[in-house]
Amino acid sequence: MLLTVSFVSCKKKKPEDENQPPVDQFKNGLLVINEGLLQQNNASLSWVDLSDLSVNNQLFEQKTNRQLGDVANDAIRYGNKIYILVSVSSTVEVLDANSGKSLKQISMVYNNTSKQPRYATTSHGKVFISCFDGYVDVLDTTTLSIINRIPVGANPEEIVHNNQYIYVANSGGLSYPNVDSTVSIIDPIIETEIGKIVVGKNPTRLLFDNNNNLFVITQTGLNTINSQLVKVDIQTQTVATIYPQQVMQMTKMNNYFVLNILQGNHSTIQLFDPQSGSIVNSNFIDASLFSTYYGAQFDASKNKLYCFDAMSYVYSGYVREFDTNGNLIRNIKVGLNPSKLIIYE
Amino acid sequence: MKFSFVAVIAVLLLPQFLFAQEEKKVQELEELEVVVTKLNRYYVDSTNVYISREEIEAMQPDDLGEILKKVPGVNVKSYGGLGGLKTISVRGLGGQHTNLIVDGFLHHQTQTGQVNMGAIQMDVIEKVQVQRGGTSELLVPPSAQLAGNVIALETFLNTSPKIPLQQKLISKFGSFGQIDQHYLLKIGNSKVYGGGYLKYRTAHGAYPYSIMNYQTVEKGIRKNNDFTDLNGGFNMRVHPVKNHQFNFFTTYLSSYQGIPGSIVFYNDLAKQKLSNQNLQIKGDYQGKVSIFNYRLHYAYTADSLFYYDPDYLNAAGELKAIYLNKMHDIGLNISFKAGKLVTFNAGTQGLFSRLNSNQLTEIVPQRQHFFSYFKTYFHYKKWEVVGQIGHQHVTELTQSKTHSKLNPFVEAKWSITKQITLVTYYRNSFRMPNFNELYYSSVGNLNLKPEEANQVSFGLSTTLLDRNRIYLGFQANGYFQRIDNMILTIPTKNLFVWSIQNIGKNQVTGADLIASLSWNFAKRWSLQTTINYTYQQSLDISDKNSPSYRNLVAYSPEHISNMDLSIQYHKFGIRVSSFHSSHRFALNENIAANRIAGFSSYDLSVFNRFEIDKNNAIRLQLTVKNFTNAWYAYVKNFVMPGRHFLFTFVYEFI
Repeated sequence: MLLTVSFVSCKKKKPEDENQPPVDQFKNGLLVINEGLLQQNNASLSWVDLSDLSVNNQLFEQKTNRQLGDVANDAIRYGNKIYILVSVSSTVEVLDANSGKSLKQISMVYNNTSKQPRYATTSHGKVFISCFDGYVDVLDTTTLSIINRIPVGANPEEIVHNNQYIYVANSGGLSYPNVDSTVSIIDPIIETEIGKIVVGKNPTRLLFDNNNNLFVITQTGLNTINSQLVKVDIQTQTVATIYPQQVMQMTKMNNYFVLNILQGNHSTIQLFDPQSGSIVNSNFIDASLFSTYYGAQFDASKNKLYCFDAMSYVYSGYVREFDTNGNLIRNIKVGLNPSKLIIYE
Repeated sequence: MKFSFVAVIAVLLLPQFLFAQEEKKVQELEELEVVVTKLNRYYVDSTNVYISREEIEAMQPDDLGEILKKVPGVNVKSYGGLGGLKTISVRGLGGQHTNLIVDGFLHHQTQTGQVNMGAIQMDVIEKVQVQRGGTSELLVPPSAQLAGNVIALETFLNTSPKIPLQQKLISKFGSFGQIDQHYLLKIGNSKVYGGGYLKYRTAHGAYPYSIMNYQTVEKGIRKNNDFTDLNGGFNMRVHPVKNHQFNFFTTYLSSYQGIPGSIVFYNDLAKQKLSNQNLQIKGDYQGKVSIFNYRLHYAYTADSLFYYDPDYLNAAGELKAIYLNKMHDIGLNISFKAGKLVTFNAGTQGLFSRLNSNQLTEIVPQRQHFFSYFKTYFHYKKWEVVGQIGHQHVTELTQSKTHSKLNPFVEAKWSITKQITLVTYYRNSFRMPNFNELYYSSVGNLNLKPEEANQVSFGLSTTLLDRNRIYLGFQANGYFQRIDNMILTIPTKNLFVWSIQNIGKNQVTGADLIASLSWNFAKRWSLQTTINYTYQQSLDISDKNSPSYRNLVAYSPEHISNMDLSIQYHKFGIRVSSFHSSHRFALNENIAANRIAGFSSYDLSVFNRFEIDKNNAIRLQLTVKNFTNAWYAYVKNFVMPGRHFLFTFVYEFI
């Protein structure tokens, strides 16, 4: 029996050591939110020190002595706090933005059912969180508790604001093929839905341009078919333009949008002028640099575009840094499925 | 040695050749019967592993999956304890490459392509035979002749009663609310007999667990893990005249269980339920006329699944998914001898499947799958050579698509002495995408190709000792496999939108060792031990530029071993059983974040058998499973139960 035990304890090679030195202060770096993979409990935070490009993939664990949970879908910094939405674990993790220490773990459960928080935006001292059960939760940033639930459409996804109202995309994805097709408008002061705009089937992503036009990505299938970009006139609450491109992701970069557009089976990364409604550079970034383009985030203060590569969703991901001309500056290996950054000066 | 290799694209299986080191008893129609061994409880021949009723009783497994983890080359993925899903891979080939044969009939599910080994209960099973790639037995369905691997079960119903009325009553009481009640009977004689069984099993399944959350041990109770099932069957066998035999079987299973899912940190609200009904009606006619043996079989299976999620966040506020998979299976096998040296064997089988589901509103998947083979078996002195050419023709009626392919198989055995045999084989096989992979709502991929497998194996088996008081058998194998067009489920648009694609290639290199000893070392004293070891390197060779190129495939440990030791005084015995697995990875990228620790688990049992008189006996057994209370998982975040108990009472009237 001892012989058999010894068989199983021998190893050919040791996996890569991931123990990382602790991070004392957040400065001149990137806090990367890695979604992780479903049912793996492996959502994580990576700290990228831009001074020496060192990476710590166990930041959350080192700061809290526990794991982040299952699928960190979004994160946002507001004041001195960071709010991380962990969808399958159904929690909101609140961290001190300077030290990274845990301030509170908020359980997102209602009537004994997981609310599955998806995306967050902030307004009037509150964090508004879209929850997949059809509500937008209002989180008081002082008491760190949910103070209101605003009913919206089905399976709300991305949520944004334009300094006046909050807009949330009601996807209805779980009722496929009978999906939702609206964007809800919420007044952040009275915390109530005040209207809905019909934008097209299965809206998921929202983005305002500098002229207060709302752009929405809709799709008529759950797979990557028939996605489209829709421009909404929020004054008339109607669809102004539907663009023919199959847009998968969009990121604002100064006056432009960086779009991930499917052409056949190939992904392209193009530069779009939302004011003229035209593509200004159809090969802005070489898409072959990516295994799985997974969105981007722009650092306006340094004019850097950070693009995420999910590496087929099952390998350690990369943050790929570009200048505003689409030139690659560097690649930074992080955790599994990076999808969001919090940038520290 | 006048034979042509051209003609030897196939063969036979001389009935006599079945198991080289076993005693065979010759009866009428003996060639159609599975030969019963007299020797060990766990024994081997040149390519197969056999586990007998005695071994199953001593082990008291919850299900077939727990038995199969003891077989070298078989890697079990267990998602939980009693009632939990268990899938297997054999020498690196996924479970859908393995045919499960029960009493000579294919046990199949076209929707998922494989059978849940956790749903096959063992109280009614008399023998398990695991055939890893090599020759299939005579007259088993053609699908099994062409499959990558075969697991054959023989049930209590498949053998004639030892006395005119043979009965058995089994009661079990175990941890986590487990109660099993089981009654079996057989009545008749060797000419005409019938049998039946009925089993009720229930457990609340709420076992405590511990799991590491970074550097802290987190404790919890597994919720929504309840399980109840009712399982029954009966059969009739008639020998109207010499050399002709009719069999009729029917079985029914109804189960209802919670689905605990993986342990999700900070969220233990799983409420999903699954119920399953499975009805099988099977019959065959076996005959022997002159030099011809033949078997004609038909089987009907209706398998329904009902999945219920009361918290699904759609407009209805719940998800009720209903699936009904119906299959008709008809086949014919023939074998005949051509002289003393050569036997031919051929067969054809049609499998007609249909799936109805409320989740597939615009489509009703239907498939016709035809299997044919021709085999020649040549036996000359110390040599046995088998050549087989198989053909499969599949029509997806839903898509009007067809797939046709030849599957060659060759095997050569050389019995150097009576005790030592060398064997080598090459087998080509494939498995079709299952209905879920093709059609599952918005995830399925209609363009999937079959997953291809090629196997090469070299083995040595030897019976070092085989006397009245001692048996020592040994088997060693080395193998190389290549799997192309692997069907993998991967995220596509984001983590919540998955798709199924042919994107993988695996290369498997392995070796397995089996040593089995039975020894009556003193008057009334006996010892029984089996040691198994598997080394397997299952590598991802899909893409040279991938971070996981030549990394171990997910959930493929390099080392698995087990050792079982029983010491018995007369009818009283003690048994210690161990199982060891090296670490594995949850994803193909072999980094620390994906590493799942290796583990060892140990079971201990004490048993006694009281013979009240010639025909009445009682058997009592207490089993402590995982007695070291190890916390371990085969699958990441699916923690197995810690120490638990099972008390078994068996009353036999034989």
